[in-house]
Amino acid sequence: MRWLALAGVLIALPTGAEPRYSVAAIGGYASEGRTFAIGGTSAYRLGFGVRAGVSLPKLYLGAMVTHHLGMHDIATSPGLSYDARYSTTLFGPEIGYDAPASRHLRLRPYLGGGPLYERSRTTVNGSVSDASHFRGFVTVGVVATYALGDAFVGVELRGVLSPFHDVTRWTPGAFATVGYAF
Amino acid sequence: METGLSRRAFVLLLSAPMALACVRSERALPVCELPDAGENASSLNVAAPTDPVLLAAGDIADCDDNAAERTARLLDRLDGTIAALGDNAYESGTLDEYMECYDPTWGRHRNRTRPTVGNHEYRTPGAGPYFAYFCGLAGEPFKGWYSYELGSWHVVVLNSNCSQLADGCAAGSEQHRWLRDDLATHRTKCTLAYWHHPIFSSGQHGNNGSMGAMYRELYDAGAEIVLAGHEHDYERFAPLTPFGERDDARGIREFVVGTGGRAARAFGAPKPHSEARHTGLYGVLSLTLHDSSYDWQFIRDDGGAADSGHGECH
Repeated sequence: MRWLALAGVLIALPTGAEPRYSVAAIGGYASEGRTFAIGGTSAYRLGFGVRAGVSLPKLYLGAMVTHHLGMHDIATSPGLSYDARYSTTLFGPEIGYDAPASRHLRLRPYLGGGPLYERSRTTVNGSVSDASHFRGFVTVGVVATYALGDAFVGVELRGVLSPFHDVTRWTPGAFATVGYAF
Repeated sequence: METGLSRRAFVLLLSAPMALACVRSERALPVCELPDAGENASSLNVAAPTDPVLLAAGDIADCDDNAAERTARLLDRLDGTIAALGDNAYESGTLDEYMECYDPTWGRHRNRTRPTVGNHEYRTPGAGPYFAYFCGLAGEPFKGWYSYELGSWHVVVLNSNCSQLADGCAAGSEQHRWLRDDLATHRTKCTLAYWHHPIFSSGQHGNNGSMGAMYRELYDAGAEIVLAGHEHDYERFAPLTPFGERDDARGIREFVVGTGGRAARAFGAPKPHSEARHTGLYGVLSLTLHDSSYDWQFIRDDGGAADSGHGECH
């Protein structure tokens, strides 16, 4: 109920401005916490994608897709070959609040979610395991943008929560963004 | 000017990931030194000039702790085949964790190890690094079940990560069918099996019935011993039926040995027929496998014995 009330307040805020549509490219890096410390397998790492939405003008409704390149892990020894490829694609709707911090600077905390597709294909001595699958995710983040006329540049901090076997995995990430508002 | 700046930033942002698209990590693994091949690909023969010894523990190597080195030093002083009972390299059984945490400790004994796969290995999809690290010592890649002979004993290794297997672990599954065939092919007086998740446990996770069909198959075949890890403790049960009833004539004695190095956990209320429990210590179970009987001893990392006894084969 509290969230519904908050959404109502946000939508009802006096605007005096038309809705503005925006589209932006995003690129950055994300990784599960432990892999920062000791390396290892990650289906995230470098990622890039697109975000599009509308500001009403303070309530932001949009959607994003991000593809993480993951990694290609290879190990060999006499008599053994190991080859593993991982990557992740996330897509889904987002809702945020556009808070102007100055004439050019705007902060947008947001909440999103949807399905993610994790590809994983491992080959050991010619035997193949394909454990690719869909699962759900929830993301929380904040985007700070600086307006350059109709264009904007910015940075984003994002955390993705997703169930992974017997644990819930927290994947923080940092991204740069550049876009255009119509 | 502002528009030109943003256009250049846009192009840079798009081109950077493309330039780094090939995120590739390449390294070397220890040389595979497989034991002599047995009669078929899923059965490995282990030379045993005298009564063989099986040394078992699971839940082993954590790079944040040196306890695995303590149990590895114990293994340095003990002869025998080693059963690594799963969750061998924390946190996720990655290749880095195997090479940086397991290999310097228990990895010293890799070529006399016959491992089983734990749930933490599957935090890396397919448990690929586990199968790679152990080469052919873990059976056919991505299956996780195999068997071998140890003296006069037949030893069966199963995969209890049922949700990771295409058709699970129920009766009629691929693994269950393989077990039935394997037990029919190897009709020995004494049989031992091990996997990661214990059927009976007074530990934090409690009883786990996912391997019930396998346990029943082993019970029907007259198996003597089941070993498991998963719980970070040591526990020994009386010989039990698949329903957890005491059966001294035909029951299977289960040992839970999750004391390889991962931090210990407290017990819950003792389950029926639990005969010995220890937590807060590290060590390995030593099983001396005679022709028609066995001796067990749980050896702490300081060399002392915390539990011992003798059993007869059915």
